[in-house]
Amino acid sequence: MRPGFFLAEALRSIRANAAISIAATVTVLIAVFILGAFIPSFLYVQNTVDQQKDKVDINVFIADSATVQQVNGLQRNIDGLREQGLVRESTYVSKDDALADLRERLRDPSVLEELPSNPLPASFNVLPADPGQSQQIVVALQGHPAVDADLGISFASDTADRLLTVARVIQYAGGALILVLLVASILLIGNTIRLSFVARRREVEVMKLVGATNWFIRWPFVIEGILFGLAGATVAVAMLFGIKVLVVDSWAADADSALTRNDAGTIGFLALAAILVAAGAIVGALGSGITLRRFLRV
Amino acid sequence: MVIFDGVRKVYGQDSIGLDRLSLSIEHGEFVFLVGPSGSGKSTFIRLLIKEIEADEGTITVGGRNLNSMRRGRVPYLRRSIGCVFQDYKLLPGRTVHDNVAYALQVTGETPRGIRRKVPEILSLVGLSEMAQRLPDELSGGEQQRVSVARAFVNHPRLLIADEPTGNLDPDTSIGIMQLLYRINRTGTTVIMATHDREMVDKMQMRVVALDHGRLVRDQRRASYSRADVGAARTPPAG
Ligand SMILES: Nc1ncnc2c1ncn2[C@@H]1O[C@H](COP(=O)(O)OP(=O)(O)O)[C@@H](O)[C@H]1O
Ligand SMILES: [Mg+2]
Repeated sequence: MRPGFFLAEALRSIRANAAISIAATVTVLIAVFILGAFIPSFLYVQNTVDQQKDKVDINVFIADSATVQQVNGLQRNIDGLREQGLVRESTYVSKDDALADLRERLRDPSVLEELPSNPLPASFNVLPADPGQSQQIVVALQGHPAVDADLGISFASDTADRLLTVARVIQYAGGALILVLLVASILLIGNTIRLSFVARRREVEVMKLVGATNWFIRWPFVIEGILFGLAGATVAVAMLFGIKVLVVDSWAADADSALTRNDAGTIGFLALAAILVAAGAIVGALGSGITLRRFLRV
Repeated sequence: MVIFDGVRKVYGQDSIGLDRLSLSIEHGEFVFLVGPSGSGKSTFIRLLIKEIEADEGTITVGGRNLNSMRRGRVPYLRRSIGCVFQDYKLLPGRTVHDNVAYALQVTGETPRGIRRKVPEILSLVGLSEMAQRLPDELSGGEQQRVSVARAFVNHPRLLIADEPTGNLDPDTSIGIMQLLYRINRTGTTVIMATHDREMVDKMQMRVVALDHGRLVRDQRRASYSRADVGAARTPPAG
């Protein structure tokens, strides 16, 4: 009986202060909308960077003209580096392996059928024991006759480092933005509840005179705050869903049709919606809860 | 039921609410609290429900010491005391029914109990027909009846009324007075602050008179002022 009664009391109050209620709902809507747009983008960047981080390997490209002896010599050099503890692992990737790899990464491998011959070089894929020592490995292998003069040796550790820095900046900036937005929504809901409370100050005094406990008076206001949070979040989720269907999905389709596929995933929409609605409810509860703590001394 | 022992309440620097008042009211009594405006009647009543706290002395209500009562217990104290005020203090956006029901809801009464008790009490105060009206659709006397109904719906052992007829015309006042008297006859202690001389004279109940926060008279079967004391005190012939 109690929850029903408190809900009815909350709805009574919302009806009595319609304008203020709409303002509070719109506030949450904006905050949750931005939060909802940010979370997937943030996760996408994060995942992309994570993938790059794994790619600290070194590719030693082998010239098509290299002889078997030369390639074996290169292999011995790499084995030597392993014995020194610089290299953790190395794999020989033949021209056919390279082509098969590419075929797997392409959305439409049929473009490869038209090639007259395999243009991809064979290579040694070398994993450094410590990515920071990549440069040493490169220096040791550079200039070997088996190494392709044009392609040389490529390693991604610089790019990975830079991406990592960018990701960290995005992480902090994004976290700060989300924090500011959530705090702003909490304060705005708190303010709305305060106005609603002040508007009913005399009523609250009467309630206390007939023996209502503080929590009996507070619950409807807390529920009122939660309803603002839920309503704002629900509308924001609906808007985000519209944007996803109309804009993002078609972008993603375009991106997919491009030559390579990026399989850095992001969050599913249902999970996102659940998080956002929960965030709205929590923001509403906190906003009203914090405000009401200051009121209602018997 | 109510014991005031040396109770003093000072508001500002010179504003004395009550000055070392000692007084005892037994269970089931009907007491008029009289005195000119500013004599401390409202202060007495606000102390009783712990809306304000005494600076000196002790207050006991129904065996509970209000001085040492924790804040959290105050709502429970108030549920055991029915309150009626000069300005009715009804909840404006709620119907007569909902106003009375609220006093039950704060105690956790079931919807079933509410459906039974509210019509019962509204019929007692003669407002059965007006259950769905809002307070501003009622006359002053009717609003005060709602307030009495709300105060009595939990059947408290103590009912206090601060100038309940202060805003009402004499005929309407008599109706409210009769209602309070009937409530007293059910065994409920009633304390009524008033300066309605005619009413007090007619009822011949215990009169506690205050002046400048001091007890100046406490007399059974009395009239409003001391001038009439002789008549009231005349022993029954014979
Ligand atoms: N909130 C207050 N602040 C300052 N003085 C007050 C306050 N309430 C009452 N008083 C003073 O206390 C005295 C008693 O007031 P009150 O109990 O309201 O008297 P009554 O109800 O008999 O008219 C008066 O002198 C009044 O001015
Ligand atoms: Mg008064």
